[in-house]
Amino acid sequence: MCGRRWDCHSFSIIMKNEMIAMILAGGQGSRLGKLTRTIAKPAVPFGGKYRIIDFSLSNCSNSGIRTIGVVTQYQPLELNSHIGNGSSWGLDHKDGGVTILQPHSSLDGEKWFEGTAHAIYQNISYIDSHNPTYLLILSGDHIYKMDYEHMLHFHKRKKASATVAVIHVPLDEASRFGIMNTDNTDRIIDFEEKPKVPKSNLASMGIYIFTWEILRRYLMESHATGQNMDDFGKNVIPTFLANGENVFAYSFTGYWKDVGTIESLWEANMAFINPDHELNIRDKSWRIYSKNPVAPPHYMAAGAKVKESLVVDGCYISGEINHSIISQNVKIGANSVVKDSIIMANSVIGKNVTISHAIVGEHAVFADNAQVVGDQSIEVIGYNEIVGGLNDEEK
Amino acid sequence: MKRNKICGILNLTESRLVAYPLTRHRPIASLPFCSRYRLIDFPLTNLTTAGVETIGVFTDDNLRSIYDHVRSGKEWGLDSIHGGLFFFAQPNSDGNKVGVNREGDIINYFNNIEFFEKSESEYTVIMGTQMLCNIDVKAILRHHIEQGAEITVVYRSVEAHDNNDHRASCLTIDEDGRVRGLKSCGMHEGTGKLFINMDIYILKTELLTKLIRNVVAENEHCNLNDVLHQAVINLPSNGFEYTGYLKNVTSVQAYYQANMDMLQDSNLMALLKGNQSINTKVKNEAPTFYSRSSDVQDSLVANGCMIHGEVAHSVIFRNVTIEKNAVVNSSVIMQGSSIGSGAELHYVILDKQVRIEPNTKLIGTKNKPIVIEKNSVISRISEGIPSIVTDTKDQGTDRENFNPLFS
Repeated sequence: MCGRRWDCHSFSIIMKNEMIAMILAGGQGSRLGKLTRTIAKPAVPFGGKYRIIDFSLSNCSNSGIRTIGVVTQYQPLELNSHIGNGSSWGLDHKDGGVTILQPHSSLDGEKWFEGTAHAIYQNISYIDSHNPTYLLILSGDHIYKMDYEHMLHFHKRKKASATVAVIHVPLDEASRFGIMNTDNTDRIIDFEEKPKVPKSNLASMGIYIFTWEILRRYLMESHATGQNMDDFGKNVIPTFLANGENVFAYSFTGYWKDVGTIESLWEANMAFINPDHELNIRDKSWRIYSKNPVAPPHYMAAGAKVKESLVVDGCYISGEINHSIISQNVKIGANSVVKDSIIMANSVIGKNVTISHAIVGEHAVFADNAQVVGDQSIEVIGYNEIVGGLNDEEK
Repeated sequence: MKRNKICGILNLTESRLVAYPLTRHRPIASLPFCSRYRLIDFPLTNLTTAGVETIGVFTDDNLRSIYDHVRSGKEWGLDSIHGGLFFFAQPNSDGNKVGVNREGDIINYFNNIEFFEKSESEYTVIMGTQMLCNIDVKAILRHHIEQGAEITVVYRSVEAHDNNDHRASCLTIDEDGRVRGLKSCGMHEGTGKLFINMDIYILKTELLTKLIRNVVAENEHCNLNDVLHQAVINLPSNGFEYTGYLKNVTSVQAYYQANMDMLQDSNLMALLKGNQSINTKVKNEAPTFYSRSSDVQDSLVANGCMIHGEVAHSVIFRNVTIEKNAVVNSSVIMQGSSIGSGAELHYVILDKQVRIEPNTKLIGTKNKPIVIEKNSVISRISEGIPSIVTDTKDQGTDRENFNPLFS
């Protein structure tokens, strides 16, 4: 993907406010169960030291986008404190920067965001204040690296009103996605949401570039006539197509993963351990940034055995770790075994503990001799959960 | 703490001869330490944790590595509208590159005396980086105000035979904490306790500017530390005892030992994980990857590494690659270095971005670790690098051996 940066258009830089980004980070992600009970899905930790939204934010930063609105709604506290003023991603610019956009009440009543497009409609005044020519719509819950500048060049070259990023998915999985049918110029002629019999395998990634003037007109008109366009996939794109707007599919070929379920989150993390992973996290030319709390280096005690694993600053490891991800400031006691698992930050694991096929939330505590073994499905231990130890009666 | 009550001085005109060749291109303040820190992180964190918002950094002309690390001081919360970091570099008048200014650094303080006046601070605290410690500056100030002395000087009590620096100064302190005298530690004979002067001072800003003006008026070439040594003898001064971890980085060996000390949990707790956790420049590195063939014991490892080989009793900095079948033992491996397969390192300090070719052997000793300079490429046939060092037992002359002025 990054190789493509140096195409014919490579040396132009996105001009100030030519394009601003809106990251939709309000989703609950209810299929992640315990992991999203108290935090929004984009704030869920990933890969030992990242949160899911770091990928979109870093892509923006690396693509030269300086103005970003992050639309939050569900459990925004942790997400807001993670993003702060955006300085972790180099986004604390003099002109632009990151703005958290939350639903608010006004004279028109309360304005909860009813859907992706509705959230944009509610924030028209924010977008107008930056007066962009193009608007980039992103979702805050995908793991991928993508150069949005390249996509903008495509949008301009095609003189499109809207460009939808698409990825080729296996045909037998295509019925889970919004599927785009295109002609031989990449123009979208038909869109089907989760079709039973898909005509193509081009799935929408939930990433759109709109010519702002046009999208704005549609949003205003639909609202004025009471036909609210709440969702980009369900309402906006079909309306654009019905009105003969130029809508194009921008084909993306790199790694892209929607970690919407416990299984897919676990699988994406496990694949991430591999140093030859397609995401190439060590590539210095397209870094993934995150908020990095300062912690001392991790310490491997005598007796520690760590194989095929990722370990982050601040850990104290005395036990055995096999094919797992150990996040910041985790303690793992002697003779404990962690296998095929993700241990999130600040968890404390005692001695003789066995953890296998599990996702352990932040600040979880495992008493000595505790056992958590996921067999058929992945075991999930929630944030701050305490596992094992004496219960009240035994005390 | 009330705003502007106290300002800080980082006195970084410390002799760079002591840790040669690690300090050939950097001041002591920029020495990388414990996988991800630099020595300057310690006083900067101590000052800012105590609420000091205005810090003057007085250095010789070797600012690049300090400036690159500290920048706006954001990591220490110094990029606010209040106070901040101020850099005062003193060009080396005699053109030598080893950080010894024969005119003394006092003139640099005199030329920038406006800094003290503008800070509007009542007190000034002065620290350096050679005395590696983690100290509560608020406690020193409290002690200073309670005791009502003109100057408070910080010391650490050590057994005479544990003292590694005969050039450091030692305090004589009476029972009620008053400083009665100050002499070179080398003059101390026999056993017993030594009160090592840590060259950390608190005094009224007004008194400090007066001392600086007086010395310059008499046209003396000296260093701020000499002026303060005189002052603690001549003026009513108090000692403040520091009891935490201290290493006086006076040699490569002491630097090596300080890193090795961090492998003991009690030292790591005292210096890095205690009440004041040390801040440093943040880098965005990936997590460290341990492969199936790795075997790492009793070691500190930073983010961003790829470990395929064997590591024991060592301190590994960021972005280090250790290939399969390589052995790293009792060594300090700085940022960005790579160690080829089959290589073997015992008691070695690799400076930044060193490449050790496959099957190279470097074997130093505990008291004389081999130092490989920044950006070197070392293979089995490299000339001029002793691949095996034998212990000479003659520790007293080590420093002179590294001293370019004497060799």
